[in-house]
Amino acid sequence: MSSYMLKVLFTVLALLTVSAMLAVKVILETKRDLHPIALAEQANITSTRKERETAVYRNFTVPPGFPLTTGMGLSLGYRLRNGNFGDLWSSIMDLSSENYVELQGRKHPLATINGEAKQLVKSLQQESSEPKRLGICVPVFGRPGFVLVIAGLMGSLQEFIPFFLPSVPRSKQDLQILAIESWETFRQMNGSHEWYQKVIVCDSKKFEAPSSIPENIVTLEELLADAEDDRTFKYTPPQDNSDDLKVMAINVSPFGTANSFTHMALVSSVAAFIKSFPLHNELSSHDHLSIILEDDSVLQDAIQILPKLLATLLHGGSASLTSSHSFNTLEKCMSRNTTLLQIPENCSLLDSQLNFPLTVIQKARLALASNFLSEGVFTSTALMSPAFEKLRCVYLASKVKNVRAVALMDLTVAKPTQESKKRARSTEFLNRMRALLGCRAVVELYCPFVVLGPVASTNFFDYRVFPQQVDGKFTNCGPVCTSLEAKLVEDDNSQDYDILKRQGMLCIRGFTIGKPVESAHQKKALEVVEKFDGGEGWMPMLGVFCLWGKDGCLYEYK
Amino acid sequence: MSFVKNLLFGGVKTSEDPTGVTGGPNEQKQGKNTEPVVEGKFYPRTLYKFNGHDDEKIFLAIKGKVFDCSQGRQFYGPSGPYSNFAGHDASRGLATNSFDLDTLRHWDQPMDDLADLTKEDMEALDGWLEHFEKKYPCIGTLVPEPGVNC
Repeated sequence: MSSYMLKVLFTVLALLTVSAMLAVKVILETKRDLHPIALAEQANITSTRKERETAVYRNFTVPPGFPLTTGMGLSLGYRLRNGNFGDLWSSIMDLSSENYVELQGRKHPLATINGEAKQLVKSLQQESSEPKRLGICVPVFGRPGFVLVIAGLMGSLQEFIPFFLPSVPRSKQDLQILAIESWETFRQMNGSHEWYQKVIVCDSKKFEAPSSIPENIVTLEELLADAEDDRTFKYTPPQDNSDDLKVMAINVSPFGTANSFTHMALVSSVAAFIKSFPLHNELSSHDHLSIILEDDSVLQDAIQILPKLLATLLHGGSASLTSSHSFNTLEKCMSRNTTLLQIPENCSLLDSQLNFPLTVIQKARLALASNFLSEGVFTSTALMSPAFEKLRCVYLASKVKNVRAVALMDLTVAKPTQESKKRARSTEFLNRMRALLGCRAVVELYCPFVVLGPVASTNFFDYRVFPQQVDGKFTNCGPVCTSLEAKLVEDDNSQDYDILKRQGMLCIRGFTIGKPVESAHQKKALEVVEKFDGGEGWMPMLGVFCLWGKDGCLYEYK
Repeated sequence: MSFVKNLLFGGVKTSEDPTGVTGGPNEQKQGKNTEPVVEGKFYPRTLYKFNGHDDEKIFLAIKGKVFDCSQGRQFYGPSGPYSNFAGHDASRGLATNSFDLDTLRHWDQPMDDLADLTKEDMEALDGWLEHFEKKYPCIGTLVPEPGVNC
């Protein structure tokens, strides 16, 4: 009898094990978001290459011979045009009945922002008829900074050129108007306010005003005294599309260089972001974008918030801008409605959130979710907090290793350095993050001050965990964005990289790249371009050394 | 099954190394055929193999310029209407609007200098050249091989 029972028990156990294994196999095979073959073919690669260069790589959605993403593809009669900020903002305002922008925890209807920005443009226009250069050195995550950004972009379609400055200029610049943060900043200017026709003090309540205020100083409050909520922004494009090529902004880096970006760069970057969403996961009016910025970083590039922000608002969604130092946990820092989160890759909020002690049950769930994710099956069973319930994607903004060399276009500082390693998240960390936050994670490679929007970004459905040797040496940046194409070139300064193994210095071409402003910087840029076989519009990213993976993704050396 | 093993004993599945840094067998396995061709000088002999049969890629030459017509496989590939031109100097055929094999030179013959073509033929050829320059990437030049074509 006992042997009969043992047989039954063994049979039942064997059946259970086999059925469990079959069920797991079926789940893994049928529930994968992206087939391994698709993950291994993430780029379109040209069949030929030049000597000392790799082939040209494009995003897998842009086949060779097809145009890169150049804008919104709006109709102008029977023609198509790329569009500009005016088109974007007028469409945003058409959908602005319910959405809002949250700045440092305070909600502002779009009608208020629009009304204030329009009022600001109007009051500054009245001052003189000459073209004006408006310097903005106010954090964009506050209300004054955000209104100034929108006003600057509105004005750039008329006679303004907004300059995004990393700090208050210490030498005389060709600026007519300067927006500063507070009276304290005014005091620190030490009389340099005389260089400008007008200086706008944005937060007049933060510090006490000086006893005597010079004539050219005005507070933002005074300028916006007559502002009213306004839900309309009318824009009629000129027949010759000239507005699309106007300068949208000039971005000044902390290294002293300045690059100009046209409206075409802005709309191309917005369109590339919209296109990056896979089918059934597109942007919608239910989306809420939260952008967390590091206010203490000198490498903060204000205009990088624009592509995602405008794309979300364009779909009727809402957005929040917060400084990472405002709160001590990620949960508190972002709105509960957040569906899309952009955060600096090395933000400490991520570490404090993800290293939170877990209970035994949570650990078991984490193990299950991590395993499913590493097999390519998405699951949110290990979600650690209800605050992340709505979150569907986290964008980790990763800067290129040598931002300075790219911005300066200086060959002497572009040599590869083995001493300092780039701090980047491992794919194992990303796996844990996907599991605990119950959302997708996309790593984006940015080149601040030079390229608007990311250069490359990983696939929405790419959950791969790489061997430690790979993680220790590279950051997976994913395929190149749809508005750019890229190749790697041999550099005499870096003999360690073998072009035949698809290793070298990154060169990009496309519509989101800024143009040097000063003549000395332009001359330097031309020299560098010539050195790396120029003439075809390629821009060398000095000091950015990468490798093309067999999967078509860009891997930056750490 | 690695999934059950990882679940029970900890760890996650690691994907294949796409960078080749681990030096696994995958790196050596990579076929030469998938590697991009280096742009540069072609001889009629080296051009010949890119005829869509011997190599997947389809190259042809017009007035000394070599174009990668792999995208136009339906025209220049095997059993396409212009398949004769693949891997050859197609200048004479395009200029005279003829698909005859006589318009093409073998790789071991001297290169065609097109000296006997009429003005109209040359104009037609220039039109084709312009068309190819717009449509296909130019990947090099066709030059006679010393000791073979001259």
